[in-house]
Amino acid sequence: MMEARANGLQSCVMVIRILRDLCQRVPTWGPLNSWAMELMCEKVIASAGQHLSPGDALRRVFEALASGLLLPGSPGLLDPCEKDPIDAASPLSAQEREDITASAQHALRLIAFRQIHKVLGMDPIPPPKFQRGGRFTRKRRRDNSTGEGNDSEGELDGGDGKKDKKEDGEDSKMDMDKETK
Amino acid sequence: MVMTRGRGRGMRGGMMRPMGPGPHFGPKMKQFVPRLPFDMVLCESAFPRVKPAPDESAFTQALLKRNADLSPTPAEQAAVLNLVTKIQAVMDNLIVDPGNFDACVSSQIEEVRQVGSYKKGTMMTGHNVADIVVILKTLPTKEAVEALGKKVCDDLRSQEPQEVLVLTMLPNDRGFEISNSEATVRVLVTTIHQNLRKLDPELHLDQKILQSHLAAIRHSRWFEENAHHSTIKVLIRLLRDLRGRFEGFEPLSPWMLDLLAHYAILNNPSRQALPINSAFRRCLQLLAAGLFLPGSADTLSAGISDPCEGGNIRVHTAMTLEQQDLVCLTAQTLLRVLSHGGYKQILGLEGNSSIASEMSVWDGVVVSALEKAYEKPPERPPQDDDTDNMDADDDPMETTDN
Repeated sequence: MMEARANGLQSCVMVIRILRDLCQRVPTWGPLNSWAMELMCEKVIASAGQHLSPGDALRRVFEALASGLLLPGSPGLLDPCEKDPIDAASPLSAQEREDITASAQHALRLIAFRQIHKVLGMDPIPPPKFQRGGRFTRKRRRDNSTGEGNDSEGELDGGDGKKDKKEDGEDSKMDMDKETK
Repeated sequence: MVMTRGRGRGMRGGMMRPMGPGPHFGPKMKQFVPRLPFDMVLCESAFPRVKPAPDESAFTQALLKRNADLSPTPAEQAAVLNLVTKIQAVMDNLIVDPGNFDACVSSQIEEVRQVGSYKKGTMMTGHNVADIVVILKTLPTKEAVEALGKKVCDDLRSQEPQEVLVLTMLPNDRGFEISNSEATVRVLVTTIHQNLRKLDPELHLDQKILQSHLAAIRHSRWFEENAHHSTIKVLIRLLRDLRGRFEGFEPLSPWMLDLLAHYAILNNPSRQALPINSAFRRCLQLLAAGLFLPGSADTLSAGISDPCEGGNIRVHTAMTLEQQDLVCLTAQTLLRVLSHGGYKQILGLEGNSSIASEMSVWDGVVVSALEKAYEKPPERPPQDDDTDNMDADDDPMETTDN
């Protein structure tokens, strides 16, 4: 249970970093202040009620925006650090809310149709050429393979997956992320 | 760094086997639980209202008015009820006393059931058509179906000689239609399960069609038990009207709309029916958030699983990916129009359907239409493992475009 929560929070940190980049890179997203953005990510990801991978956590944030989280009539983002009820996104104008929502709606569909690179502003990732062959060589190398799960873990860790990393695949990824930053 | 991480995910996604995790898969198993998209109704407690909810009484009134406009008139209802009752009586007679019927058409009727919007109470005005499924004990040859149609029509005529001139019978590839001047009854023919394997495409009605008629019976049974709440019927009528006016919703089947309406109204923490205004908006919100989009490399999209089919079939996968994109973007644009006060245009009380595909302005706010996101995957040379991957997935729609 604790692990699930921690993993959820790790996903949250990654999603916040990606959205911060989006806010800096894409003019439509510029007006969204960081506090509102961070608050929104935390609320949206924590309210999933299940562990989310970073990819699904990011998608959930776009889903929330696509379903009108920032549009007029929505409950708003109650700021927990203010005494009076204040919407953390209140500086946004109606047009800015509209434009961010439309952009998130398009981004959500790009993600669903495997074009997340367009959302992240990076080059497409070439599809793996020899899926099956690769898997088999790895399997052969590891005589004591316990099944397909290990292989995917290995890839998650960037190819250096060891058995003892199985439990905290997400954490090691985050560490790598921080190290290279 | 992002690149490396992305590559890792991408490759893993390519190899994903939703049904394939071994017994030692460990904590990762969780990822294969289907995931629902963000749904404000299910996590309201995480989003306490900063300011009170806006007054929606005008919107609610407009929804109810639209429903009243769409509902059949008493005269229409009486006409269709009258025709259904007569045809049902004729068919019941054929079941009880097949004697001379056998001799002339050599079909035997197992059962007759009313299905579709007539049975569900979701009919629309101007479309006075009721559906009846006839299950034959015998094999449904095209000749036998046409003969059955003739026999039913003849019996009707002999009962009411004054209707001889207005009654028509038209056979088609689903069965036949009997119409008088005010109403039509579509008789959908099918056969008992044991016969489905004995079909010859040259002689009999199409197997897919026969199966869809059996499914229609399951659907109306399910509906009777689970969706009799009147708000659900009102919402279904409104959604069907929406589908008729906005081209982008065309891929949604009546069954998908039934299930969506049921879900939007009853699937909430309190299990009490949501009011029509919230439920109507929620339908657009759910579609906009991708309830009917493919899942990710990590998780299957939960969608709505078909309560009448085994094997966890999600209803939206009957649409192509292109159609899923279109339905989603149409809902996304309409949701924004709705939030800026455009409910009259959405309900068709004012304006036209261009709001879904062209820019519109609401109180100074410019609402733009969305572009499609789906792209056909590039042609890939055939690989040995393609079939392997598809076999491992219960749903080719999710993975064939890797």
